[in-house]
Amino acid sequence: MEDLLREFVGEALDQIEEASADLVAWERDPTDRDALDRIFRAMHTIKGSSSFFELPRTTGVAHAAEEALEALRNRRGIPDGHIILLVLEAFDVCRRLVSGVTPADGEPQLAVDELIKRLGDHVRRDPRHEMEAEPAAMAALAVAADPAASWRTVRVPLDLLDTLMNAVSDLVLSRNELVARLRAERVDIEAMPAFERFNAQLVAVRGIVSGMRMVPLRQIFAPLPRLVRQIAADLGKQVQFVAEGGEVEIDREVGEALRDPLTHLLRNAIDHGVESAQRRREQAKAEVATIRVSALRSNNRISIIIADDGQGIDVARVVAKAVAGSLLTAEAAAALSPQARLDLIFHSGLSTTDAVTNISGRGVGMDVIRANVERIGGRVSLDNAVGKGLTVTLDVPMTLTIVNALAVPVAGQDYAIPRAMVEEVMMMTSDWVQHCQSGGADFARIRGKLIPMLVIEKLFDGDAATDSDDSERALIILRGSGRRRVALSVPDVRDIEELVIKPVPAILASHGLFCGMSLPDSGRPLLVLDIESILMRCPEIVEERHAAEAASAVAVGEPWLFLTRHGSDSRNAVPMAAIDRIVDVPRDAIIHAGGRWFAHMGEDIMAVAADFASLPASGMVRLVKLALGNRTLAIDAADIGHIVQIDPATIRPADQMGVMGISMFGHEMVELIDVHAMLSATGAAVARSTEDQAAPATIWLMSGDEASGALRLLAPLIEQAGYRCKSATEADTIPADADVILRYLDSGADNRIEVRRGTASQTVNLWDRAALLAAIGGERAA
Amino acid sequence: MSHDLHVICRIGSEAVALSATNIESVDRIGAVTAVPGAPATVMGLVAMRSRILTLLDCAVISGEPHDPSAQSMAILSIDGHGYGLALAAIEDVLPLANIRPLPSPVAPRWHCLAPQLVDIHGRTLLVIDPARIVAAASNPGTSTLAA
Repeated sequence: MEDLLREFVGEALDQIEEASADLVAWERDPTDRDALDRIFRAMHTIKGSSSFFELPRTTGVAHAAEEALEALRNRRGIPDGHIILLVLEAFDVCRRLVSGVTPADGEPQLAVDELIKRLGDHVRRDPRHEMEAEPAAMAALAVAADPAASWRTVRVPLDLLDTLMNAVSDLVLSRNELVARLRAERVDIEAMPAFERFNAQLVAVRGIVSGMRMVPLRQIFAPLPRLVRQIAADLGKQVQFVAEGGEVEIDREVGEALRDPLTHLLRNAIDHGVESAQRRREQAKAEVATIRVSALRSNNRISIIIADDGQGIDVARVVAKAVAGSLLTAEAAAALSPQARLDLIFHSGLSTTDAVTNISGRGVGMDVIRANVERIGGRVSLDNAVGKGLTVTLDVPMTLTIVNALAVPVAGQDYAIPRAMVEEVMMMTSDWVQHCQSGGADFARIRGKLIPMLVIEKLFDGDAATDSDDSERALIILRGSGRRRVALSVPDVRDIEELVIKPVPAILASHGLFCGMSLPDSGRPLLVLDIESILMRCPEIVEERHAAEAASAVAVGEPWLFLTRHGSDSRNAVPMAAIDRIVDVPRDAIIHAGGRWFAHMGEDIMAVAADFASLPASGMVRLVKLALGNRTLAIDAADIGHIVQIDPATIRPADQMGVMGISMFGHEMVELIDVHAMLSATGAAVARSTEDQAAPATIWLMSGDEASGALRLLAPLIEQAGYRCKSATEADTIPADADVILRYLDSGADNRIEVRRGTASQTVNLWDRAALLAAIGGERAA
Repeated sequence: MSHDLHVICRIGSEAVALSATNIESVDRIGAVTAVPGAPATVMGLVAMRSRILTLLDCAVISGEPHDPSAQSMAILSIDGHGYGLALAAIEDVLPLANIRPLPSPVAPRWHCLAPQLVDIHGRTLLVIDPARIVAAASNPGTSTLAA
């Protein structure tokens, strides 16, 4: 009895859902007798079964709804919106009653009398109802009994399907074990026709079982017509809803994950897309807008297309909002491609409606939709026709449980990478690939484009060494949501068959390396790498689309890391080669001592340069530790951006201390930090305490006349390089054993300096700092 | 007091009785697939027919070093995931009565497993609910590995 009751509940819920959709369809097209017949059949079944299970409330509501529908049908006119609403309400109540049914207590104690009375009032208000009631009821019964119209289905709990699936997997493993045993006995099992047949049948059975988890999209689409009707009514808009491709089958789980995104998209379409009736008239559009949801299947992917014929997205407004919300600068926005500008709509906190309605426009929308779709391995794309409408395509896998994967062997064990996350596989020896190392991090330059690189062995164990050299290794280019790209260096790659993925328990998921496991035909468990979370591991390698686009135009030069410092509006960049590491330290650990600032990290003490007044008062502060030679210095970073290659030819000089130049990136200006200057000025303090304090060599500056007095201006540069400066106005005040003497050659416009070192003499350009430093003996350790 | 079945075995150096109510079966540990990056409480994955079990190192969970003599596992399911508990010296499965609370506090490392006590044939055993072991392995915060 309990089983029967459970079956009734499942069946009734499905029927109510489909009946709601049919009712909205019938309202739109009153000539659609089939839709109406289906509703009658559903209500009739629910009425019959619920009375069998003694669920009087459900029976009562179903009966009253059926009566009201009959009255509607007999009127043969335009359906009355009020009645439709009332019947929909009745469906809702039925759903609540049925879903609350328990074997012990029956249906929940909902008050239904009032609803039944209101439904009855409607029926009685119709004068023709009395005389036509009988034949109508007969017709409904006739339809219900029509055997051809009912599907021949059996309801099966999902658990049972999973058990069946596991049993079939067991069979496959047993077969493998049997084959291995017989082979050991030197039996040529493959030559046996019976074995071949058995094998083929087993494969077929596995396919059938996988197919059983699939449901037609119709089930996912069923509540949508009603949703559209309700939202349109709330907003006073007229919308016609069309659903196509309901017969396309999809894994139940994927279908469930699509419910929310579909709901959000339809809300957006009606609220933002569809214009008021008046505006549509003015634009010579059909007064009733059309929203079309369709589905297509290709191989293992399903595309769900949501198209409206509204006004489309006003891209200029999206950009203006993004700029106003400081998502990017106006210049950076201007540099974006049209598609990239449109994609700004996916940024969180961006909404184009000025007034927040209770339907949509709260700034959570497209970003949430994209996150939901990408969570199941899908992608969202937009096709915007301004004035004509927006088409959103959700491209999702047909099933979550079976994925195509690559196998990567590490230390004698295979790991799986879902194919959907793989953009490309390359050999390290390819001419298109170059392995670079900067500041302790690995990069791959692929066709001139720089992307961060992770080494799988180091990912598993930070201290591990790779056991093969680059020439034998392969590179897997991974692409996740948010357009992050990472190159994963692996010892080898193999293609593997479809894997049935099972979730890992929390204890294995928590460290973010693996998101699933699978038991392939080999019978040895296989771990599936959690690519999304691996991509998230390195905040400093976030690659935004506009950055990637701009970077591709400037694919020469050294990599620089973009960052913004506390208390500064301008964008800074530091060369990757100078970065030792990026650390988060508590604000408390940044202390003022001896006239300087230091970050305390266990045993390690780092000099810190920052605008200390602007640092957060508590919490963590992110520091970028710069290192060169024996000096280190940490600078603060309020925000770490992407890595960009900067062509030295594009660097323009700057006048600010600590800034080596500025560069334009897209339309954004970036100050390039003069790491060398910073390390010389600040880093020295820490270094000096431990180093021997040999007296620095003295550089004599000859400033005989006024013009050469300008040489004094070189003093900071020279002192930073570890020398001491002295000035002299007369040549004879300089001691005979002076190490280096600088003299300004006042010979017109070529700005040259004579550098005399012992007996050797050369001239250098006044503005060529590097040549000047080299001429005086180069950089000295302080 | 009912006479519930218990698996008499050894975890690290301690003789224990595991409540068998939730234990599906006891089996030898086969080939173990390592899980890089997993906590020390996880020995790896093992296949049991078409199921994949997460193999937990009970000795480590109870604060002792890894025990290479733990060659058997008790199999159970929690929240839809299968687990194997690596155990040493499985002696017997016995119905036990007179299980009582601990008369005095145990070593802190056992706290997270909330043991009780039972006497059989003059021996005193800790009585442990295997679900506790899984919970302790999954929440390193509550386990006292350092003790």
